[in-house]
Amino acid sequence: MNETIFSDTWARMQTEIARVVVGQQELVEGLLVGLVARGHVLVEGAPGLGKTLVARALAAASGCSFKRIQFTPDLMPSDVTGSSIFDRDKGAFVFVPGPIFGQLLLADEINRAPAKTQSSLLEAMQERQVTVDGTSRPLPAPFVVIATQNPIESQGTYPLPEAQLDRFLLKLAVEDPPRDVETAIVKNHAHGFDPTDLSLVQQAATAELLLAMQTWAQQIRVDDAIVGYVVDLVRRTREDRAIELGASPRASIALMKAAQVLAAASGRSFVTPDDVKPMAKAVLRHRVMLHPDAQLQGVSADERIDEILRAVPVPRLA
Amino acid sequence: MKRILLCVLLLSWPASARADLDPDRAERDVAALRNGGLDGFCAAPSKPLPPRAIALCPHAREIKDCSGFANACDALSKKPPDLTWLRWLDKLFRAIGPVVQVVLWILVAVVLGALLWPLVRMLIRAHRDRQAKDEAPAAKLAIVEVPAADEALAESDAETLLARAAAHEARGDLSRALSTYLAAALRALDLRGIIRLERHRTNGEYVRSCADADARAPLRDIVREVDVAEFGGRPPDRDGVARVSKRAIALVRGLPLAVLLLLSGCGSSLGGGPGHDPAGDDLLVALLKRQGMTVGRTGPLATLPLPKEGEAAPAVMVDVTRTPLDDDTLAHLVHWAKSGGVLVLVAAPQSWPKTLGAKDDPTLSEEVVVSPDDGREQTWTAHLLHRDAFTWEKGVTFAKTGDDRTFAAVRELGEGRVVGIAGSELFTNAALARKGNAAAALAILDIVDRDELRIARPEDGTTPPSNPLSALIRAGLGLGLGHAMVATLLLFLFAGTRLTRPTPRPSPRRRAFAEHVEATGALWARTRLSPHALRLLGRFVEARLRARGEPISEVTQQLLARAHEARTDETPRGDELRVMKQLGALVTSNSEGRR
Repeated sequence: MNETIFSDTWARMQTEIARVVVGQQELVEGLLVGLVARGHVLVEGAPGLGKTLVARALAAASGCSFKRIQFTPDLMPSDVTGSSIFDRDKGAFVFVPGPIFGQLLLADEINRAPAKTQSSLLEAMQERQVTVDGTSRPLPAPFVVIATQNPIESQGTYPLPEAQLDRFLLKLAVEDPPRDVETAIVKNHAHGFDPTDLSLVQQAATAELLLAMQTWAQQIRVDDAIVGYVVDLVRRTREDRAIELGASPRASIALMKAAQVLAAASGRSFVTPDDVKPMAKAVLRHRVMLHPDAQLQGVSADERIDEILRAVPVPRLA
Repeated sequence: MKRILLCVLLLSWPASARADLDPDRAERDVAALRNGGLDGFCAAPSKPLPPRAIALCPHAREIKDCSGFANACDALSKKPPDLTWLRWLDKLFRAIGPVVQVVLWILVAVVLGALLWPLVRMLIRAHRDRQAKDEAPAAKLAIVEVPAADEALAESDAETLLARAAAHEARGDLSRALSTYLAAALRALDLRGIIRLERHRTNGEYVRSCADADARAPLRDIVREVDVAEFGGRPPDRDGVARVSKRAIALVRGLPLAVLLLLSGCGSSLGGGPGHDPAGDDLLVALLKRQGMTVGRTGPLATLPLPKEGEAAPAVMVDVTRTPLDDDTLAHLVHWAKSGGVLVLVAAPQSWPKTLGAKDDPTLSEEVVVSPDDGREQTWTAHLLHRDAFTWEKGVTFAKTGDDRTFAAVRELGEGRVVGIAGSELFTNAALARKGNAAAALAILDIVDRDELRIARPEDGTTPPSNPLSALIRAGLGLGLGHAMVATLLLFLFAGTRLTRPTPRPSPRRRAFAEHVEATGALWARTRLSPHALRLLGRFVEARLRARGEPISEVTQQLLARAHEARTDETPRGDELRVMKQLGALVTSNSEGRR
């Protein structure tokens, strides 16, 4: 692995995904960052914006196996992890793996399942293994959870607890597409595009290549000045008046990892502030809890992070 | 008698190196000069013709091969197009004149207001800051810690930064040199308004926001090198620094150079070049130089150095109608002549200094006959249009008009002398090109008896100001200067307000949250909407408790159920306030516990 192979593979995956996904570059880039940085991604957006399509296209382009779980209020943890079933022929309990045993797991509408089921994902996300009936079973590598949630409907939902939110490397906000992009999407469908048919997407990577990319990204140089910048940004969330609970040191690590991946994608072997700033919102927005006063005033986490980015000077020698 | 006086006058002056002007070859010299390129006034005269050139139009037909000038003069005599039908426009302009004035004043007021507004806002904010500080000294503020300013922000001059970078480079501190070159380039672009320097912006953001496509590529190259050195851990080499230096210098000095080129281009297109003005003196200067005389500019006449004892100072030629003399200059010029200088006045006699005692004596003749009486019996005749002549009691006449009036004379003044010539027409390009005139002009100037002649320009008659301020005031720009100073002060304050160092941002002046809640509660109580308030609070508390993922006790569930069943339009039952307090306590206690 070297800079060129990394950036070429990255670009090829983007190109392949773009064959079926119009627009949504930030979402695609965020998912790729999550995949290569060994992080999980929470995607928040209204229904119909192509979240599932992007995830499936990513699986097709990256050569990873794809599994999908539709979270519902009656979903049980064993529906996610799998369970042991008595096999009459063998006369013994046989473990039947659940959908979590995939490389790219789409947890659709994760906030519709109760906390008990949501927390069944915790071990898988953190330890990359599942323990059922006292036996731990490793998950295939790479393993990435792409969870989606709808920000509008709150009836009958179970907001993710902070502990679980912190497990997500990034939280991506999917916005409505601009008019020209939406026009292009509609035109594609008018010309017979079938979102269930991803035969257009060519495989641009393999699981092994992705693992090598993950290793390479970890070796990207991070100067002390950049580390200081990352720490300053995250610490500032704890000092902000409008934020009740700031981001933890885990956020600093996540921001640094995401920046490393972005630097590698740019074909560089070192991180610059230009790699840190674009990832700050995605890394921090779900890790800060706004003060009720600020919430009532309509202040959003993104606005506070923007303010923090403006307040913290970028490292510069001169 | 005249011949004796003139001889005495010439012999009494100190001996000097004298240019021998030869009127006999003047015609040939003029022809050669015109063929050599000094024919612009004839072939392509300045457009439009200057007023002085228009006055020389009758010469055009008398000059050989001067069709350009003649055509330009003919064009002047054509009937102008009938524009009487446009008179309604004149009436319209007269009618809207007052309205335009009012609009103009309103515009001035708006501009002043726009300039003053930031200042006023700053004062109000400062006042509010002080007030807020007094009222809530212990309030928790999101104080932005201002880091040490980097060089690009601290230094406002790109050239200084370039020099500093070069010094770092020379000292061998290449990393520092690279960064300082980048700072210089950024500062230069910031000064041109192409980018905006801010502490929180990254190098990549500067490149992406660079509005000038030509500047973007070199800036990107600089940023790439600097990033590698600063964050890539790779020490910079001399070649890399040299590349960055080259690009930074191009960015810093690129625009000023372009402006200079533009100005030089504009300059060449603005002027018509030498020799194109029929009323100019280019031909005279060239003719005198061809005859062996040194010709140059005088510079400010008020600072003309006085001639030294026994030294032949250059003669000075002043066309007083074109070079108005202020009192100081006039006094100095007379003093200079009295000290041994030779002053050649070429203008209508009424504009000469009164102290010389010349009197206007108009003539009807267009002929001027020059007879210098220098031993040669020859005379030279010139043909002119203007009919100026004079009488001069102390002067010795050596050129007369056709009706025997004095056209040129010479007189002593102290240790020097003054040569008076009734008009400068003879020395213009157009007049000199006319047959016979060049010889007459040289015969007149031969009386100067110097090998160097300095000609005053229109601006030389004014005493140089001691400082720029007095120059502006003398030029009648005192009021404008005052306005400009006030405007500059306002702009300075305006820009200073904007560019002032970041200060801790005060917390927005608003009601405290508790006050807000109390006020809202009081409003809802007045409007008997406490069930509505209870319902809203219930939803809020439930959302917060769920967000924390904590178990909800039975008591809490009952409270929430009571809140949920409250209907917005129902009559208050009386327990709303109690339930709300209990719900509020749930959030507060949990929140404090977490913190």
